[in-house]
Amino acid sequence: MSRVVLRVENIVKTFGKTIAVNDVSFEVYEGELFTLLGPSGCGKTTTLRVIAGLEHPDRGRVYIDNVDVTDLPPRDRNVCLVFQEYAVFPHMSVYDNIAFGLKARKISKLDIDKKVREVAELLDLQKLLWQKAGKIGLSEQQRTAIARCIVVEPKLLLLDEPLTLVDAKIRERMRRELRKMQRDLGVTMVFVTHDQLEALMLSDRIAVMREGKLIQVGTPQEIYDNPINLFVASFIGSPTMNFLEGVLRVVEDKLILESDMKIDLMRGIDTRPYNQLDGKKVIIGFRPEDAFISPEGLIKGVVQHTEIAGDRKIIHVRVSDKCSVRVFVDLYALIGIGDVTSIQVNPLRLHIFDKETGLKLLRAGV
Amino acid sequence: MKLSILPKIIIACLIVVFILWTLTPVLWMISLSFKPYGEWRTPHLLPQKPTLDNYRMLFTPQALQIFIAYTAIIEPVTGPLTRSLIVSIIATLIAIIIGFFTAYGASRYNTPGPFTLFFTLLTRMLPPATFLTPIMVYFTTLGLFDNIAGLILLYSATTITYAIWIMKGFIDAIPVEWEEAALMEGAKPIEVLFKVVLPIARPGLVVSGLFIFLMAWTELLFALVLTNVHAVTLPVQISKYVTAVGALWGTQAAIALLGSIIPVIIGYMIQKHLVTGFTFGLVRA
Amino acid sequence: MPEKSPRSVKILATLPLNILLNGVLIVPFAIMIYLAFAKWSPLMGINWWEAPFAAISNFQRAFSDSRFVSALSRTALFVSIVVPLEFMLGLAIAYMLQGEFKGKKYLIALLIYPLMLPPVVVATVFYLFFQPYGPVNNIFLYYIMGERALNIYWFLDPSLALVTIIIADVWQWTPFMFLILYSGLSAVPKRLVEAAEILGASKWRIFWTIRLPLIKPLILIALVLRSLEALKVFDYVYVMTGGGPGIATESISLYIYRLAILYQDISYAAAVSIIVLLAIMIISRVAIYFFIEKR
Repeated sequence: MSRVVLRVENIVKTFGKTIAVNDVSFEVYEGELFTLLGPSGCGKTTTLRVIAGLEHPDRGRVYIDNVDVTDLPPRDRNVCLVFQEYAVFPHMSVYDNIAFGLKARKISKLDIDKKVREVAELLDLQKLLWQKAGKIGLSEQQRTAIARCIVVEPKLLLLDEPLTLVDAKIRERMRRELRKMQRDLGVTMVFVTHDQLEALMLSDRIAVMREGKLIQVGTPQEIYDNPINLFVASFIGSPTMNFLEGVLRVVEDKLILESDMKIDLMRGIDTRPYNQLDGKKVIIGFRPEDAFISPEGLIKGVVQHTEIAGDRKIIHVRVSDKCSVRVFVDLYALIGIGDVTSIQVNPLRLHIFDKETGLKLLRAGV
Repeated sequence: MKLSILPKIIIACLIVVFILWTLTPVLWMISLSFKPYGEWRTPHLLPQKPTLDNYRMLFTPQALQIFIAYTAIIEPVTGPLTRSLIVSIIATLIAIIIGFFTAYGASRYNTPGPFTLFFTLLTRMLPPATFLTPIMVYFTTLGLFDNIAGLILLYSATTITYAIWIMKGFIDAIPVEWEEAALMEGAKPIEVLFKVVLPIARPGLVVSGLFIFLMAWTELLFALVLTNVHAVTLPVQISKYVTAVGALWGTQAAIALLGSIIPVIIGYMIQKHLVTGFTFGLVRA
Repeated sequence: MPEKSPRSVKILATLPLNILLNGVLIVPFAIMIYLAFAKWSPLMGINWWEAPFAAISNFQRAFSDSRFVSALSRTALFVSIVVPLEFMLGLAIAYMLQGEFKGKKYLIALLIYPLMLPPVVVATVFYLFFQPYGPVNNIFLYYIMGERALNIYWFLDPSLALVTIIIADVWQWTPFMFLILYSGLSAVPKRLVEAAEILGASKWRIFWTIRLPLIKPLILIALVLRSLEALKVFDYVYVMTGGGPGIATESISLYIYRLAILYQDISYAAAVSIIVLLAIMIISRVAIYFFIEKR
């Protein structure tokens, strides 16, 4: 259906003793916005640089449009990278910056002029064309950097944390503009960020990375609903998922978690799928938005803390000495500190992770 | 693909040519200094019968009279060598001490102001020959002619600008907060200068000191003007071997080599800062 | 830091400097002005402070002094040849040494040693080099020209003598240009070079459109400083050619030196010195205006 524009196979890149990228493979389809997501140092920027050709991998291959480009220099790959710091040429005008890539390709002056003006118009830079790129504002610099890339019509547009340096207030708007532009132009984009909210918002698909390894690839929905391990579960989603640690017990028709207290997780269910997990050390996870206060709630505790989160409230409930969970409640709910309350978790949204490996064992209700 | 190797080969060849260009003059000089009289005019790169005679003659210049009846060199090279050392060392010390205080004042308190600082630059940018005349007259009147004290004073005055500018650069880079903290704890400004700034600025002192030593050691013009017999420094002596003595090539090579050893050693000690020195701290490599 | 300097620091920072500069340089400067308007030579047998007043006669003499004028123009010619040469050579080498390779640090350390040598020594080296039986004649040119090479007397031909001085200066100071340019070029932010690479620019294009323009101020400093230094040329001329043949290679510094030491024509030397000083200051002023306007 959709063409594979980029294929990355078993890339390994080390710097001295550190393995920055450890056997990473994925594919990117034409026209999609593909995000490399992960905390600092997870290898996402290095992977991006390998794709661009600024780093040569120790092992593995890179294929762009089915051509093996691993040994080709950046200029022969037909890709473009927008750096985190934009890296506009400060001594040149915005016009010359945008025209730079075209000039290197021996296109006629008239054509260059036409293309530069088109792209400048697209990114609202027409008025700044003759300003020195070093003297314009940061957001204009970023647009110049992007314009510079788009104008050479690369097969792949790579962006390294482009919104990290941007003011929080403008970030929202820029995200939407970036996404719109990507859709309008239909350009295949590989985006690097550490901001999971951003990744969820913008991407067609996300690749979550950690310490050089690729953990999970999927659509935002898939990653959100079905995290493959503890790390992904805790990294994605804001506020963070609640985690309860203990030993899982299947007793009659109940699912119980034994930690420093016995916590009833579910009642009145078909326990057959869970029998194999009986006695296992697990970590239970559920998102604050997947639980609610209810008199039939099985998880009981005392409210420790409440805070306002936008149009709702979050309450922190102490379930046992070791366990505390967060739940969303209505902004005007009459719950206060010290109240005893019971929580009901959406059984379809209860995740069970193996304590040692962190891997998802089962999602309840499946 | 093969075509892209060609420029690299050309560049490599050019670099080799440049290396040869850089090395040949001095290699020739070294070889010449070990060649006996008979071989001075031969095109051989290495001496057939290497000898230390050229060097010996530097220490016993009376031997020069084998070659020429009259010689203007009457003292062995140890004299000028020691004098150059003494003059350079003392001038350097004076320059860096005064320069340090001036640089600190200029950096932290703007005293002396930029006008004075620029003026010090002038002392170095204008041709020394242009104030050679009055210096000669003045120093002679003061009894500083043919006297190493004269040279010491002159060199300190003309090189202090390096000390000020280079050290100012180093001091500017030290965070002011440390001194302010010390001041707030009740230290006197002088104490702050000596106990807080000086230890950190020491590399600056070393760099400017070594650079100034280099400048003082290699100076010729004023040394020619202000010395006659008693205060002759090494550059003067070297020049005399060429201008006054005539075709004693081997010996000339020998003394030139001798005079290069110390500057080259110092040069390599501060090689990272050579550019900083020559550009008065304007360019920090 | 407190705005006003504490008294102790103020004294330390200004007094020693003032004593040194005033005592050693400013006073002679005043003397020079006095001498320029007087007529004095030690050969006259009187003390210099007893010299008779001579108004502007020294200055008038300078303007009709052909030797002075030729020394000036020759020095200017020298600077205008030597500085561009050193700049281009230094730039070429900086360009060639752009990439990373093994032993680069050692190569650079090797290439810069001429800077460390005393100019007297360099002068002596090239004096030996250009002797009739020196390597230039005896080895290099011999292979090209045969026996005739031994008859080239570098120091006896006016133009050739100037060439030897030029070569000595270029040999010693090209590494200076190289070092400045090289360190400037290395300081260009890596990101900009990478951005240009990705956009398809060749190494050559990156050098001319990105790196060089970004080090323009550095280039300016290098050119100005080197030009000022080249104007002072003395050591090479004194040792290698003695200003000769005749006065064919006499630089302005050598001329003043001779006036003062050889001819002992002190007051005239003072006047000439003042003229040269003024000339340099005026030209620098003009140059500064020119460059500030360009911005």
